[in-house]
Amino acid sequence: MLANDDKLPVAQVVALVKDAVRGDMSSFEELFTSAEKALYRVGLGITGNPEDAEDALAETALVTLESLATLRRPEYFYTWVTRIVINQCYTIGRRQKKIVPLSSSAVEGPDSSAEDYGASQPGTWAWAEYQDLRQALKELTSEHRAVVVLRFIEDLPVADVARILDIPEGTVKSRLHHALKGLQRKLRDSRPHHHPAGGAQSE
Amino acid sequence: MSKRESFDREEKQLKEYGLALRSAQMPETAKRRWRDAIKNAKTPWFRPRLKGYYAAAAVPAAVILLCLVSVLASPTMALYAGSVPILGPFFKALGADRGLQMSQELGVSQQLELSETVNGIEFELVSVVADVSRTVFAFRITGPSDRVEPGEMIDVSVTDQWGRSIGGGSMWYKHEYVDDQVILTGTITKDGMITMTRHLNLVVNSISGVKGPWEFKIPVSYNRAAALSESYDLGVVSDEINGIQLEVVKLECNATETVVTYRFHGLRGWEDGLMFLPRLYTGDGTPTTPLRNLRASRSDLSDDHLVETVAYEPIPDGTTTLRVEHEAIGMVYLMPEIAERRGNMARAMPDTLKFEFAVTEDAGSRILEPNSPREIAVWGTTVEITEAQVNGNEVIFKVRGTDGLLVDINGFMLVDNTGRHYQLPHDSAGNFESETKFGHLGTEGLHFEYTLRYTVGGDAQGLTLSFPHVTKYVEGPWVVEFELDR
Repeated sequence: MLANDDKLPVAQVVALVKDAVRGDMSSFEELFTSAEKALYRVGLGITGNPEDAEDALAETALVTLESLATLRRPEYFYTWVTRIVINQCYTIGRRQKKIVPLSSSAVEGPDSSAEDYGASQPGTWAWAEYQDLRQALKELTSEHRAVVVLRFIEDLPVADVARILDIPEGTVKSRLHHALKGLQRKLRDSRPHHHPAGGAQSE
Repeated sequence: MSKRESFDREEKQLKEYGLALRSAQMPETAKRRWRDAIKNAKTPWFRPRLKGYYAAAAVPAAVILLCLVSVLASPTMALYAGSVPILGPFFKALGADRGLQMSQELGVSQQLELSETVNGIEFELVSVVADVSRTVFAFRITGPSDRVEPGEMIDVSVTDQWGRSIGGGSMWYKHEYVDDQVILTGTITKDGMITMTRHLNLVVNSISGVKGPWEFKIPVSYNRAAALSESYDLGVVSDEINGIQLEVVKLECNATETVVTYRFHGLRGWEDGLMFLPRLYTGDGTPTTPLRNLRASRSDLSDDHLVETVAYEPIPDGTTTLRVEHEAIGMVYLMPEIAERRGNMARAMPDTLKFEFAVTEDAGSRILEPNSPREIAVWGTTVEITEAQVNGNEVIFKVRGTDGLLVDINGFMLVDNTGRHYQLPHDSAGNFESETKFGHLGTEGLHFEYTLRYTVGGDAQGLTLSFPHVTKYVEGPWVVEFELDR
């Protein structure tokens, strides 16, 4: 389900889930490690912030650990765990909306942690190179970000996106349409500002 | 000029971004943080179920104890009355289940102020919760961080007033560092009814390899819990689906948890290989969180049924309508020699679950000729070799399990006529390389398909491919709705 080089064959996943439920911690770690990279990417795409993506990943590991015994179809582990990370991202987003800064000096720039991250680790996660795109993504609703991240960042077919989000394929397509339209508008708005020679790129 | 909206540019940009992200390294901090998080977490693993006659014996014994408990006096109720109500927040901070959080309010937990320091390590017993289906000790350990290592074993034993050992159960804890000290806070749970004793002895033999003992004698009474417990003999059954029926035998509303006993019918000859965890909903569709599997019983594999007991968080007061759902059951099936090695824990497959091929020459090429049927029935479904070919030293098999039959990829065995065993090639991480496809559990039915590529010796004249381990999934859902006469 995930676009993940580390993804394990389904039979191995089923066996690891079974062992993990029976208390084998190393099986749990092996299982979660096989998904961590893709889950982190999904978290990064939806939250737009490396620290929040780490939070979401850590929370997902906890929820997965505590709920694994309730997973009825171990062969769908990757689908299930992706759904968990997305929900964790939504929770983090809701929590942040409730935080009101005490003064304007306490408010950071729109993407300051991301900038620091990109600057301190050049090339890592291709962070710095896609600033406009990331900013535009951040301005979408979290539901729209989720479909965009799964469809284009994770490169999943619409049917798989629908299964992960537990929504009809038609809804995925509709959300994608609106999300891309929003992205297009936001990127267009940002181009003249960030690219003075943007006219050369106009279509 | 078309007015249709085009997002080609945005899609291309997103895909490039995705490609860049997928090819980049993940930060080490992200990897480390989730590992740290789970080290501190509670691990509500379901302990391995009792097997065979031990488990079968446990159920009647438990029922007898339940009958006896109601005639006991209450020697320690005064202890409950004087407690300051701090245990709810304590259990909440631990992340314990709702039943434990409510235990003091319900009068089934006792706040303790018992502590002992041995070899510089303090073991403090914070409370004991005495419910009829579980006894829970909450503890706090404080010791120097160079001696107490989170994750290392804490060896604990519990005995009743007659010195009889109380086995089973589980332990979990969280840890935190304060200056040069580490503090472990958690619970020790003993399952089942130990309700006749007037006190329990808890002995901590060692902590992180540091020998104790830290010893405690704790007065307990289960009378309050027994008075709060309501038991319902139900015997309500689901429709029969795929030959299997789910019966809700009994429901016990205990002070801190709801315990449901299920019986699955129609399992003659099946191994109880995978988990059974029916979901329990209240009438308005609210799910009830499962806490743990208490026991499973089956006298032997010729039994038609399996009894499973699951503890859930308490259902709300006044709940009268409940629904149980269980979607699919997976069961393990082993080759005879494997089953023997594992002490007959699983049902053995027929000897015939082997596919044999002769390697012969045909017009200068080596070919595989089947010496046995390519399709073998297992438990009413089939494993089939859909393709078998040899190219030089490479042998390719395409194998399919239909109707919910999962063949364990790690279990394939290929042996040639000289007795040489071959393994599938594997990558640096030890994963076997194969192409695996699987269909969905649903209207299409679950099916698995594998392409296996082996390199065999050039002098091999015969090959036998066998499957030591398969799992059969049977789909439900089995649904039971029932009313409680409260």
